[in-house]
Amino acid sequence: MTDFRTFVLKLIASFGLPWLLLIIVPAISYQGTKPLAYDKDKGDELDSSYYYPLTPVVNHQGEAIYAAEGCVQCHSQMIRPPSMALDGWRKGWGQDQSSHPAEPARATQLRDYFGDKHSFLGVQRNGPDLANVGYRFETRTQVHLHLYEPRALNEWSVMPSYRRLYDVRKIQGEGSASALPLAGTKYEPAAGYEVVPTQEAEQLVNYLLSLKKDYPIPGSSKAVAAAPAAKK
Amino acid sequence: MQTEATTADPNADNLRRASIDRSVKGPVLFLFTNAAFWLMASTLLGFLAAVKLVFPGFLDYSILSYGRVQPAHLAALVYGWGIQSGLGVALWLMARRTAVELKGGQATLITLGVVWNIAVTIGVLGILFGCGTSIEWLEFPSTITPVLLVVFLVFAFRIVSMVACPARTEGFMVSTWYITGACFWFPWLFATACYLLNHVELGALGAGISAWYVHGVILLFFVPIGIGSAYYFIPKITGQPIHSAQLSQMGFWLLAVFGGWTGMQRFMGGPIPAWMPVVGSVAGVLLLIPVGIVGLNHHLTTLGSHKLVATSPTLRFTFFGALFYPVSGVILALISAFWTGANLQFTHAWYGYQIVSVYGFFSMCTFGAIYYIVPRLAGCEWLSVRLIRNHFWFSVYGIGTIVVTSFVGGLQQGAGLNDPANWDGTFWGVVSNSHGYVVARALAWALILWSNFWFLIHLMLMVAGLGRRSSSPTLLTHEHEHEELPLTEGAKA
Repeated sequence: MTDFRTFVLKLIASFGLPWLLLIIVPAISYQGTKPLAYDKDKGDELDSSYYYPLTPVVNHQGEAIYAAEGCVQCHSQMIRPPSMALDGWRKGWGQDQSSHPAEPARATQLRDYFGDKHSFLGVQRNGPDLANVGYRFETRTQVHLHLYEPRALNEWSVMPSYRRLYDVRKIQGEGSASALPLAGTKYEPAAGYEVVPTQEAEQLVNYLLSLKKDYPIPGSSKAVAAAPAAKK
Repeated sequence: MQTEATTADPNADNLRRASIDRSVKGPVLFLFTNAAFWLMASTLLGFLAAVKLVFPGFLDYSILSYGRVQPAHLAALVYGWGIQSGLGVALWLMARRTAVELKGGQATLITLGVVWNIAVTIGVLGILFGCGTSIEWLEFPSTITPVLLVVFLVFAFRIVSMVACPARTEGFMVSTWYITGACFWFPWLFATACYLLNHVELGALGAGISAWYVHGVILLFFVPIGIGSAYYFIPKITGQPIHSAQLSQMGFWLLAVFGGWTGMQRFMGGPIPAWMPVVGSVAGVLLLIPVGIVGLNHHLTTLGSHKLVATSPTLRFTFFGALFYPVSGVILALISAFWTGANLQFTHAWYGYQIVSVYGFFSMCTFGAIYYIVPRLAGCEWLSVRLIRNHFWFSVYGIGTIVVTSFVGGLQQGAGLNDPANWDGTFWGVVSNSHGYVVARALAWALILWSNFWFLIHLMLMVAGLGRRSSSPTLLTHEHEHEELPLTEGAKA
């Protein structure tokens, strides 16, 4: 019996140590992590009325749809530093969308994820990274098209289509302003019908377009582009 | 941890064993049968997920999109099959090892087993119907996780209370160590992860904690149950004591000490504080030491008895399961070390690691245990040598294929992601390169599905008491070899 007690104590000690130091203490100290202030005197482009992260309000409804659909199974949201991997240099993965950006996209940091209930850093990369997907699409319609029928934009895509987030309905009068421009493609609905995003689709698109992490942080004067991500 | 102690009256020993077996019969058979159902379900979902990765338009329903099928597949494998069958093995093995009968409460345990299965069903359907959380291995809707925790705790309490006051203390008890460890560690991990990830806003740190949870469940639940079962059955069937008690103690404590530190290396180079992935990486590589120690010990114990691997189904499955353990250790070290891990991060190699540990290692050991335990509980012998062989070969080749293709495919996927030549290209190169590997994975799951279907039928016939009525166990020999049948298993039954 005493043997058993010592054994259990050893078990508790061996696992309790990493549990405490690796999980509990960091989780508590995370709660006290504060945003950082910009400072023009130190070379930042913004003055101290701005804080990093710039957009801490996360669209939780969109995030919930992102979670429910399991997007994280194929899309990461994490840019590794150039010293480790090519992430920052890949075309379209940062703010600079040109194929030969002057600077690599900034590696993502802890504060970039403020406000996330649970960050979806990634399981696999069967599709491109989405940490900065907000810079990638020029219009909302493009994102909707991509979600409705991924193969409408890229013939080779293996992404599932999220038709469930769209209503196919009879055109009433002028037709909806937000109807997807599918005319002429092979995904065109039957004559007299239109494809309209549901509220869920709009939320998911809001969430995706809000993913913009590649802007200068306080203390790093090397700006990728002049304007930070605040503008939608 | 030798063969069962011999007393003056061999018949008294047999009677004692029979009454222990009787006392755990209901709950253990219940867990095994339901687990086998979930294994089937998981295999089917794994096949579907692999197909979807190449042909997204196949069965194009929103509940069957890859993002839902893949987590449902792993959830069914982990909670439906893995933990359920692991509890069954742990309960029987602990009762036998400590010679403590389960005194009462069988009906409660079966009821709780029913609750567990209902909860897992709700969870898996929840994922498929779009209520998943996308937190790795905790995708179940968060409301059902306390139910799972309570059921596990009751089982764990019954198992651990056996070892707290064992009726038999002679012999070395390393199996009971591993099983006690698993019963302690899993609820601790599960409660911590469920509470923090579902109820506390942790941002990127949450992703690190979920990776820690996944590694913890593998290393501190599946691995201990698998090793515990191997440490019990290898000496029992070969008739040789474990080669070195000292090595097995070292192996256990090193696993206990390193196991809890791994996981965060999954997000190396990521937004969590840099020391966390470093610690995880170091622990992931250092785990090669306990893996090597256990491997060496099993190897030395089996030495000279390899003929039995061919004939005894239990030893054959356990032996190959134990072979997969070093493989999983090496893959873990490769995905953990920064040197190789940066290339394997976010690739199929991660899936390969989950499958080699949960299916290749743990499940093969569990199959071995089931082939030993069920005849003793059901009172009849396995019906068909062919079905067992079929199960064995399809599983070994299937899992081998999945692990190799996932790992090699992962290497290539990572190389494609990091190749400067592709930096301004589309993602098509990376996608098309892994097609071949994913098709191979789908085929492998289809083969495993076939073998698991027959395993389930075979198991259900046994549980229904429709097995062979015979005093000799079903061994994997051909008809003409029957004269030289080694009676090891039967003699010790």
